[in-house]
Amino acid sequence: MSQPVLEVHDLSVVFETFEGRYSALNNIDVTINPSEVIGLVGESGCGKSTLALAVMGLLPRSHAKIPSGSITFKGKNLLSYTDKEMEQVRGTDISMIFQEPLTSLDPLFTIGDQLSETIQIKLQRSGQSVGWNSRKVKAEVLDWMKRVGLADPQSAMERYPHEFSGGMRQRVMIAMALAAEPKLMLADEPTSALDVTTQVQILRLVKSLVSQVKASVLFISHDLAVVAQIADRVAVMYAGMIVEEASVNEIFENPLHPYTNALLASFPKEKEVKKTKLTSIPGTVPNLTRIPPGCPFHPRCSFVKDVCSTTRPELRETSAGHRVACVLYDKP
Amino acid sequence: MVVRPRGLLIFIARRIVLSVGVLFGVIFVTFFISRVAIPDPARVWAGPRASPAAIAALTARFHLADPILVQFYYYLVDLLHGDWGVSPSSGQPVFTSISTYLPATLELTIAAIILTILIGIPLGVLAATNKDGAVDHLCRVVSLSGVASPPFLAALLLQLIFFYYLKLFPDSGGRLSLFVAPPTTITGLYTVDSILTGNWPAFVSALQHLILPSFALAFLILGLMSRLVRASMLEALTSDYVRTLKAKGLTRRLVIYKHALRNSMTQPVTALSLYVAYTLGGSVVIESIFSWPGVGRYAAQAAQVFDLPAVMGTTIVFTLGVVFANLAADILLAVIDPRIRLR
Amino acid sequence: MGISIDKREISVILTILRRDKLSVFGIAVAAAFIATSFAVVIFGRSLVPYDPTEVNMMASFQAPSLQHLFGTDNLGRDVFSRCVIAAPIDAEIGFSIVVISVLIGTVLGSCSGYIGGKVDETFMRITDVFIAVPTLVLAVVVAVALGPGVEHVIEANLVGWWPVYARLARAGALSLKESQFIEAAKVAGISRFRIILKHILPNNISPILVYATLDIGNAILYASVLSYLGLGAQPPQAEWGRMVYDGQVYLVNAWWISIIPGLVIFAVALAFNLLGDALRDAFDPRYRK
Repeated sequence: MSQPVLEVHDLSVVFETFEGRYSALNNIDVTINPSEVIGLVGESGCGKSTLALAVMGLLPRSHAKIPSGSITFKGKNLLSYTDKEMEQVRGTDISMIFQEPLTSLDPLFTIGDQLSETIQIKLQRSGQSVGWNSRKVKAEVLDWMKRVGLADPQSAMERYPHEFSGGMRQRVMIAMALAAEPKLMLADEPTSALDVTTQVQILRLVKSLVSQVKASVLFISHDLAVVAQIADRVAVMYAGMIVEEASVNEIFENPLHPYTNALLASFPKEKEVKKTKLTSIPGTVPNLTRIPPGCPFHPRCSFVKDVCSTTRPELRETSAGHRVACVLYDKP
Repeated sequence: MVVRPRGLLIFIARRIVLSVGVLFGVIFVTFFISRVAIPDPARVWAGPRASPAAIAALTARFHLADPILVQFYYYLVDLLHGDWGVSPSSGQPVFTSISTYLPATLELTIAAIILTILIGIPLGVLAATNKDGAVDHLCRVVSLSGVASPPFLAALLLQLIFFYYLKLFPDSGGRLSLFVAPPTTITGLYTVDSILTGNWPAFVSALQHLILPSFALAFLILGLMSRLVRASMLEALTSDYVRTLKAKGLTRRLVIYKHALRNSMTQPVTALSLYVAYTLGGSVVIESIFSWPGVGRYAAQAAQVFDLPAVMGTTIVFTLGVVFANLAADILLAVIDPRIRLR
Repeated sequence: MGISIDKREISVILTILRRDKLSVFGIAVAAAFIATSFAVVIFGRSLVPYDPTEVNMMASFQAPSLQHLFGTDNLGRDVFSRCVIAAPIDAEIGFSIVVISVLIGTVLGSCSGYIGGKVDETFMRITDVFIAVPTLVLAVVVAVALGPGVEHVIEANLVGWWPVYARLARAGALSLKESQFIEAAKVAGISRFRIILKHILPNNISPILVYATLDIGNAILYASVLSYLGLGAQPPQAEWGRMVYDGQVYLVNAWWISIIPGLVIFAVALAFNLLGDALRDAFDPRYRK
């Protein structure tokens, strides 16, 4: 098996806010292999975005601290990089797309200009110094705009973000993220702000482009259904911890963790849409400054045992490629 | 960056129409004040020792016996013909005096605005990018001082320190030293005219005389500008698109100076017309203290002796200035921010 | 945004105000100013060491010393005493301008914003007119038209001051208009006036309060400039702006006659600015650490 693209090991992130200190990530381990799409699922506030931002080095320095862990990319620990070194990594080695494309694009520049920036950075970093407006750059911009399916790319280049629909803007974001052919793309809820039809289109686009460019993806979403359409492997997160990790088929056919089960139960399966009511998981995500001791999920768990309130379960492998953090599956 | 002409032109046209409307309103208000708010205008204008014949003449001339709207009509006609009344204190037609003094005020105001932009914007940017640092504190001190200072204090202190104690600048008031002749008039702005005619001594003298009063004037709004730029920059720096830009791998420099700066210019440009208003108001005091022969000093001298026609003329001119500044700011804004053109 | 104030908020605000050194300075000076003004009104001449109007040529042009804290002016009058005695004038002008503008502007602006439509449009155009004139110039022209006197200064400034509050109130009303509880009130059949009075106005208070506090400093500045120009309070009544003007001539040899009253104006205006700033930070949820 070839070397993984990204290896996150024992990563913890702590935020200091006026409400107190809270652990956004607790000793997280994630491995992403080449050309693999990992879906990271969880309710909002569980720390999935934090993980992505930590990889990119974009956590707010003033109140985010990383007390432990390493993020290994291309053999080096990203956490030891200086700002300038991280700048070099971003965009060309690892890129990221975000949830709300309107506010995520600079409103004062045409999308042609913004794409040109990415292309220019890519060319500059591979040793060619080109002008931002040069014909070479423009040609590539045009090419990418066609690849992401933007109609009439020539005139679209001269338009501003607010002149496009959400779906089209997201296509632009995807182009910007993949034009430099990074090894890894982080996608933070890219479809959550889009309507269902557009969602499907965007997911298909990402899937095809990513395999063309041979990039890996960390696809973050709160929606298991979305993740199911695109991921090879799925990791389920709760309150800063990974509670289960398996291939996408395994997760759906053989979910082990009570939280995963609850997630699956709470969205309608296609055939049963008319019959099933949406059942939401009772209780709410804990306030992360006051995570209960032991397993963070135990207050909402239907299978809770005494030991759950004192000991935090560890992520253990139950079968090939399937890991769970739950006392139910601990071998005696 | 593409600016699509048609959208911009329509935008400008609409703004001009609105501006004319505002101007009209202002003229009506000044008219109202001068005619209706005072019980017996003719008597007031004729002065305390006027004869009944003089008062009657004034009444006929200004149609004071007619209904309001008729009076307003004649008032407008007069205004448009350049008849803005005669100043009782100087005996000169208001319009002539103001036209004579206008270039000086223009020069001073433009200089003040330029200073504000040149100092205020960098100060604000540095304060934002080095939040809570030394520059940030400096910015706060400057802005607080500027906002709380009565205009005469800054002017007098500057005079005291630079004229009298440090002897850095020539101590004659006015726009030029006594022995320097003004340059040939092209724009009326001595600094510009002397450059255009290659008149070096005049340029130096004009500049020397311009520095202190324009700085005193700029001081009032410098702080406001830097604070606004700081706030806008901070907002821009924590925005989603800056996050994307960083994720794209742009250097910090590019993120700040190419993107964040441009995005933070919206509010300062909008505020610029407000600052022009403050500047024009402040010129009344500053010009007096520095003996700068402008419209502001004209107004101050007129106010002292309760000379209403002169002060009203000043009001109309200054309002025109603000309206123009507003228009210019709106156009500039539409050029900077493509979203504005759609409205 | 409008937030209504409740007891818990008040204690949070007070805590924040106490923490920042500058705002403590602001509160202290502002309080001293108000207290002095009241004291002068109550106690008059007996409050100050020297008679503010007594001419004493022998003592003229004395630099600040222990005897005369702020020195004496060209007529031998104690500058410190005159400064103190002059306090209530600017206090009266400043507070009157702001309070009345707030009242007029808030009511008109809230109504206009809430009612909307053509009424609102027209109202906006009207405020546009007043805002287009530089406030100082507008105040000067009205004051000249009305004649000398403190009341005229107040009235003159009111003309240019109220539109700003009208705009503020209108903005608040516009955003509150869409909120849930206003909808509920409308559905319940409560009349427009009552809605404005009981729901819109109280919820709009904090931005207006903040701005008004800052504005008192401004109002005092404008009052002093108008006096400096010869409008407003007439001699021999002591007034800070007037004192600056009278003392200008002697700037080189006796700077204290004009500079010190100028500094007093600055200190008071600064105090209210700091106070307003601190209030704004206190109300801003992002700043509460």
